[in-house]
Amino acid sequence: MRKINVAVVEDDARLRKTVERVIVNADGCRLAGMFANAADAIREIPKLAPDVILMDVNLPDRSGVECVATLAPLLPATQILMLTVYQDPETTFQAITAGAHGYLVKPVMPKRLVEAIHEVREGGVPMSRAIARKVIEAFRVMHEGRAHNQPPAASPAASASDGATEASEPLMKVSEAVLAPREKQVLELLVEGYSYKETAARLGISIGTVGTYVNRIYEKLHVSCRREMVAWSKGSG
Amino acid sequence: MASWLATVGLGLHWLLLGWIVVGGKDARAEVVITGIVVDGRELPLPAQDGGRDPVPIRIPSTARQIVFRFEGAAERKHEQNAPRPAGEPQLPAGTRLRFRLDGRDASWRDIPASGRAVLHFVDADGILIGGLDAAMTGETPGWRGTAEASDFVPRELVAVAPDNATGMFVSFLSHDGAQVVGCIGIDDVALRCERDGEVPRSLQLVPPPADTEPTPRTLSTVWHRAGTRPEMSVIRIRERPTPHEILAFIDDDPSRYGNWVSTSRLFSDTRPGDRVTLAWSASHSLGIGGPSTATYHGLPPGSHWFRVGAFRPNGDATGIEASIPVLVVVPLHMRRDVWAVGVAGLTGAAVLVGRSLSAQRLKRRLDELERAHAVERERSRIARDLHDEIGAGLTEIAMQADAVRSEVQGVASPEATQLTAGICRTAIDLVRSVDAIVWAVNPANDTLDRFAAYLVQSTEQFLDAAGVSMRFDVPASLPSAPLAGADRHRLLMAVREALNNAVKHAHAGIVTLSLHLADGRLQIDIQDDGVGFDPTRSLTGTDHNGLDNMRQRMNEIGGTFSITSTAGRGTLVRLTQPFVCTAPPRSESHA
Repeated sequence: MRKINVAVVEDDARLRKTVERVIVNADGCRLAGMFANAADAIREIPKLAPDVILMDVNLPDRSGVECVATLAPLLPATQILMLTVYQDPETTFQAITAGAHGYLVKPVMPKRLVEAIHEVREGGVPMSRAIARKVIEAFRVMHEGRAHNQPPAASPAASASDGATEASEPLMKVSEAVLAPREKQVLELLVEGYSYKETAARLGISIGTVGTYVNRIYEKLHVSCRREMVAWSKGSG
Repeated sequence: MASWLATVGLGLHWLLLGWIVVGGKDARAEVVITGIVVDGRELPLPAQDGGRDPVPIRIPSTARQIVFRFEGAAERKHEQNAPRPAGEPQLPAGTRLRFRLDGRDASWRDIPASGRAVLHFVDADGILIGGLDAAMTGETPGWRGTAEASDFVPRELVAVAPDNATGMFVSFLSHDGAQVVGCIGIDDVALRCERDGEVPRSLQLVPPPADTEPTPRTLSTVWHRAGTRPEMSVIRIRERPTPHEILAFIDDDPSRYGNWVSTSRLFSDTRPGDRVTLAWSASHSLGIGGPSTATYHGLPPGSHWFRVGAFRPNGDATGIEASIPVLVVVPLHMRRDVWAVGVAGLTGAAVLVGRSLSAQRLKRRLDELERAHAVERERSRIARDLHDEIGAGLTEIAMQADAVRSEVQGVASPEATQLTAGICRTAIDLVRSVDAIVWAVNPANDTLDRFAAYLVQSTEQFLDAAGVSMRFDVPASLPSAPLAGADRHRLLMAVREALNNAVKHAHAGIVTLSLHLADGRLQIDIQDDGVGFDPTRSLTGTDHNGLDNMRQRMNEIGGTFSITSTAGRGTLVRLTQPFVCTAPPRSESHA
């Protein structure tokens, strides 16, 4: 299997060194480059087009969230994993809406770091309950915000399986921003504290399928947030 | 000769291009303020249509971080422009954006932007094998509108040739990756190569050495244009000391850059270990053309205007700008006048009973309040610094201890492995504790919804690490009503104590955390399905201490604590605190 190219953006020199050692020694990973600030990262990473970027949330020159917002549109095939020290769900959620695909709260043990790199490459790292709570609220607010000029959400009757793929033409636009019933169920169970395993058991699906639903939720969130921002900047111009 | 023509041609292009875009007839604003984020919260924007009395944005003086987002609308404008004269390059001319906050900034400010000087080493096959670069940032002192008319600042870069180096190239770029627009002039470029025991050699690259050849060389034989828009690399004439060509950039495209690269390999007999000095002098004025942000930390109370202006790449104003009024207000509970009214009322009452409060004492009280506010800010700064320093160090310890643990596992004694794992765990716990303190002293988190989010996150973290299942019954949408730092921290500590008991003593399989607002109270329940205990029988010393701690913490904030348990049937810990929802959901309520 091809090795996963990993770029690291971290301002603390000691941590950079440790992360370097972990990635260099990890099977299946290759270190594409290391950067100590956002300006270097924004300049160099697009040339490297890595598979995964490990991005510190706090950088000296600008926030990791801004850095993600700049890099994510340039590198659609790259997965971005945030590294955060603060357990602040607010910042983490901002990073996700800016285009990050997952996050790890430091300290991250070497084994977990490598696992997470593989997970994010395969689709996404598990969504925590705290973030699930913010996501469900964000969808609610977005939905209410446009409820008056959009057709209603796909009815539960159309829930045969996945919503996103088989939505009929007029519903396509809505389905981008509205969760399919299964996705909503997964999200609600996470908010209630269920683990992936418990969620899978409760819904009678595999853990892998839970992960697939979560990835779709991330995607819909990215799409909705991007559109929200575009609509909003045009409206205020 | 050709290069002179090129210079004139490019000069004309610049003049013609001039400022068609910004000088256009369309009356739409060229710059737009697209957002304000105060301590992570997006505020609604007032209209920027130039209306006479826009409603100011209200920001509390306790806000720690105020971020303004803005962008130029030059691209949109460009499409609506009249066709350009035939033969003109279709440059999407960039607007350089500057900002200022009247009342805070004395002049227009640029977002930091840089061009670069680079020294590349190459091996025998011409492959780049290393190099060093230096940034040319912002505006050099003595900037006079064009690079050639401005003062030049000498710069230097020293590098040691790496293994396999057999030569080098010099390159200048008009950006460093960000959306730079601006002008750069580069003169007096020279390379010097030193080797032990040999006479240093020098090479002059700008201005071109005229005396060595029968026909004078020009810059375009020594340098060539490159970059994603090579037309932005231009040659200019600098008059002093005598008229001569210099390298320059007129970068009016935020998304692209110009580049000047030396045409041939320099010092082809370079050997690894050679010390190479690249010297040059530069004048520049650089800013950002794309969407940007301006961040302020703490603003004094009062009325301000935040303004964003459109400038030409060389820094000349176009007169086009967008602005929004900002009103920084002192929250009610910190306002001197409110306190003064309150204290004055008390004073009146005191006079009535025959005791007077002197004006001096009143003033002292107000000064104390002011100091308390300053102390609070200072405290949160220290906490943040400690967190960043200690947090990074502890993270390092945890990761290294874990690395050691996996190295020694199965090799060293089980005790050694366990001890190492213990170091790791302790370091992680400490990081979390410091995190909780910093979170609690940060006034940006002084609301119920932030508290709930953090409570869920830290509970999840704790129970996941302990391998215990969890259920949450916490509303996803809660009002952002104020909840002070001291209260938040004590509630958090009490919950943590309860969770700790559930995991360590009750051996719970599932812990349920619920949070509800009802009847003017905030109620938090921690229910487990563990072994429980018989409340009629006395507890051991440590258990007692834990319960006493929780009770004391809740007493300190005027709350209550209760514990219900039956042996074998789990335990319910209930924490309540008087809580009046003074703000409607999701609104800013700073008066």
